[in-house]
Amino acid sequence: MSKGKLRAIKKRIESTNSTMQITRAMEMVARAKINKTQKGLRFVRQYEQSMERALKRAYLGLESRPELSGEGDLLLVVTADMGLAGAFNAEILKLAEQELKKLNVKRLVTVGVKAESYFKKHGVELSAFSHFYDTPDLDEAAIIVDDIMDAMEANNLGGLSMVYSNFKTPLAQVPKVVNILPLKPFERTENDLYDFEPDIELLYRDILYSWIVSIVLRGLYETKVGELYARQNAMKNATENASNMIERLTLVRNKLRQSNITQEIIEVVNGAEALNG
Amino acid sequence: MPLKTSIVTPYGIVWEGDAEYISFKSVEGEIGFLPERAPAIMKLVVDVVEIRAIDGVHTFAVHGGYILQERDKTTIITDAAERPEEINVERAKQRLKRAEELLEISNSRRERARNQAKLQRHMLRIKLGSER
Repeated sequence: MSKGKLRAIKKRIESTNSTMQITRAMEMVARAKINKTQKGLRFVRQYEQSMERALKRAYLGLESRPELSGEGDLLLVVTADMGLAGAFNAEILKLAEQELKKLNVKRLVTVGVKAESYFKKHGVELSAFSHFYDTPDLDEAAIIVDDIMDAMEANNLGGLSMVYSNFKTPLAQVPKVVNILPLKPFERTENDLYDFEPDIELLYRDILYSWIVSIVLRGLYETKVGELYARQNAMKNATENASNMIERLTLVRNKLRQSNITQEIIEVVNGAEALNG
Repeated sequence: MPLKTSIVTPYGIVWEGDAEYISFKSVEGEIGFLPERAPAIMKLVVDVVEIRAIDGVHTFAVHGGYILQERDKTTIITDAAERPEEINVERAKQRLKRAEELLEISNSRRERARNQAKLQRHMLRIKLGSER
């Protein structure tokens, strides 16, 4: 009677099973990458903190505070190149959208496919770095920063902000915005006099540039680690859901098969009874 | 009291320890730091940094960056620092050739600066790696 239905359920079990294999594989790939990348993040954070210390000293050594030039902001949005990571990208983009309304954004720079496709039709001029790296390194951060600097000069912009995902714990990736330029003034904590080589104005400009590269590199790295964890979690849930579904479908299949058998036995017995008269 | 020194790169802390003397090349020429040096920040050129410590002299190919001398510690912040024994001269030679080619076809000012820096790094690698 319901051989067709039985076969359909069997097909569904098979397809759910192959989906489960894929999600499980993706979970394991993400987990393998996490270890390496997370170790790298620690070093990148240290590097950025050291660079900020140098920047602070140089800033306090300046004879006059650097004046702000230019109006309008450039917004750098960092997302992943791939989805399948739960709400990870959507949350970054939501925050970026809010910042876009708050700031006077004249120019966008996006990193990652997700940010590019989201902001492509926004009417703000943008340059996109998509599929630009697997694991970010200094060279790539420098190329992005060079592009940002050129765009800021060309459009005479004074502000630079970055939206990225701050990596807190494996279960919590929090999208965050950091205002890089104009620089927040540093507090003087001691009165040491520093020697500068070359002259402080020149040195300050160089350090400021290096610091921006280091903070962008950090943003790329934090986002990468967050993406991997988000994907691992999402894929783990997907694998669990698939396994639950297979269990349920198997139960339905067995019940159906059993009732088919019962039905057939009844038919055979009834047939025999009828012949006996 | 020796200089508490660390070499910080985005890929990790390359060296950390007490230094008796650090010699390096800043943009204005060769210079050395002794303990109790007055605070300073200097921009480094792509060249060799030598650190004399209790356990001997450590040599590094340092790819630019800055040296930050604070009251209680010395930090060399750089893109990369390599020990001579880590350098693969053959590979550096190949990359030098490639960097030269790239330099010729770079068209923006920043791109040229980046490739110029790469060129210098490979030249330093070859220089330090061959001395060994």
